[in-house]
Amino acid sequence: MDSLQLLRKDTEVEIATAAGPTAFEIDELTAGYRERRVLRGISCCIPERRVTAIMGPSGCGKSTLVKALNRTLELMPGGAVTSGHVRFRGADLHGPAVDPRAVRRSLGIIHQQPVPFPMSILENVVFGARFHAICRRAEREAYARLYLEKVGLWTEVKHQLHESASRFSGGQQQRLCLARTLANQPQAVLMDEPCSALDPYATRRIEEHIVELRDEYPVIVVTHNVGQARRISDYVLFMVDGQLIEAGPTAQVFEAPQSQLARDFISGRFG
Amino acid sequence: MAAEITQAAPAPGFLPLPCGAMRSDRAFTVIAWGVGLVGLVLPLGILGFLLIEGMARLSWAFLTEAPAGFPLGSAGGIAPAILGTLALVAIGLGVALPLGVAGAIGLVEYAPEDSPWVRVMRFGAECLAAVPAIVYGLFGYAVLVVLFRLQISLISGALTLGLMMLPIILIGAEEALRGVERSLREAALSLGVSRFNVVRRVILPKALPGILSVTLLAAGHAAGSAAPVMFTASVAFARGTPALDAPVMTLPSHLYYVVSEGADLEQAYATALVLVVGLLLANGCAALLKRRLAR
Ligand SMILES: Nc1ncnc2c1ncn2[C@@H]1O[C@H](COP(=O)(O)OP(=O)(O)OP(=O)(O)O)[C@@H](O)[C@H]1O
Ligand SMILES: [Mg+2]
Repeated sequence: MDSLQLLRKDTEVEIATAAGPTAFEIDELTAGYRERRVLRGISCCIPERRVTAIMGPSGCGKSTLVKALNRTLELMPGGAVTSGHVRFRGADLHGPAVDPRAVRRSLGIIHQQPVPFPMSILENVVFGARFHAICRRAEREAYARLYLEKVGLWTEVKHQLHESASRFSGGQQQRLCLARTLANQPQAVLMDEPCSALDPYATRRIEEHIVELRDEYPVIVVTHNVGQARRISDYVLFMVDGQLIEAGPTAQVFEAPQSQLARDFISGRFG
Repeated sequence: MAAEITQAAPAPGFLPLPCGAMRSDRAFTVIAWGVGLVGLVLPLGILGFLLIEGMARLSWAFLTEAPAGFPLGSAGGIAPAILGTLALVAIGLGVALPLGVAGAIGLVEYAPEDSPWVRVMRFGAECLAAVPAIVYGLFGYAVLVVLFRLQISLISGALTLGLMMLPIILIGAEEALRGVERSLREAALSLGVSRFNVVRRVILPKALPGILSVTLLAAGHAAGSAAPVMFTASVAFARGTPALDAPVMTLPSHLYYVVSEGADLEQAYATALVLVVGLLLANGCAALLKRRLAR
């Protein structure tokens, strides 16, 4: 069984040694908003074709971390990575010749609140793909169908492709956003609490998709929900207050957490 | 001596409400209705008054003929004034709308957030929007008519009106753009598309109803002001289709002439009625359009 490597800044101790290919290498990453430092020296590796869950109490910097992983952090007012490196398959995200838009396209993100764009369902799905010239105008219906089928929306929407998406339920909207991101043909998928606005049934459907995605992409899922992390993830990163406290294979972290904080969080006493 | 605690029997029915609060609630309800009624009665009253006074003169001929009689305007119609006002506002909007929306997009989407320049420009636009119409008229006369030798003409008046509408549209469009949720921008940009694409396909469609509202407000303001066109575009009499380099008649200035020359007052009421009904129609169309856009 391959496991995750984690180098902690203060101790430089390898908690677990990695086997298997690495997708993201995060090295001494610090980031924040203007004067407010949120991430303080995060170092870890995130494996290929596995689901990695990021857990931690509210405000510990989970969203900030995933945004830093695809350079959308700098879209927030004052948001910036102040030091450290993030490498995806060996390429530095902040390298001098790197266009942040190319990074964002390659590392797709799903946000907590699904936001359909003010255009038809069809246009929503191909919005990014059209810009990146992945799909030609003539073939957008076939292209959109591919991704709507992938997220299980096709049968529900095939007769209303040209209507607006605003009357969708929350779960449908979130799946539409997933289709939109996948249609961009990313190389990894990041999700920031993708189910926190959904009911248990819709949550279950999204979770099924997450598990399917694992066959094709490295997937990172931020979640508040300990049960969800347990159900869907292969690896867990546990953060408190901008620092990585614990990391490892899900079973290991849940069965034998190393730190008291993680133990309390998992048992629901804190967070 | 200890107060005797009596075990009261359960009160029948429901518990009473505090009567002071109920009284002030009732008073507030009456005031709110009263104020609302004033707000409803005033515009309806003005419209009704114009209808009663001006309806008699309103006819197809009034809308399609040039003014006649002595003093001018005591007979005939107001066709050149309608055409002149339409031309002035249309050309003025042709200048002000693209500039205003582009400026707002620059301020909201491209300028760095909370940069001092944005605040300075916004403040400038707010000051400009508060400048009285007559000052625009003077400025137009001094700069366009005299300095640029554009003469008293449709183009001078339209540019003056455009200048007057610009800050209103700029401020309104900026507000409409800022009203678009952050999360929408973030979601669109995180697909790696260009900012221009996001503005054009996501932000502008969302802000369009707001931009439409403020454009109509500005256009109505421009169509109804005599002051900015008085020295830049309008004459007492013109005929034929308006030309860029020739002066035009306008509804508000015609109204002004007719009343001040002591010509037939009923003609004046009918003119005012046309102006008001025209603005109402424009507003109605905009409301319909907004409803369609919102879907
Ligand atoms: N746009 C911002 N500007 C300034 N500070 C911010 C901004 N967004 C987040 N923060 C701050 O950064 C810290 C971490 O925020 P972040 O959203 O990353 O936390 P989180 O772990 O995702 O929390 P949650 O579980 O509630 O989503 C918080 O203390 C928050 O106040
Ligand atoms: Mg968050």
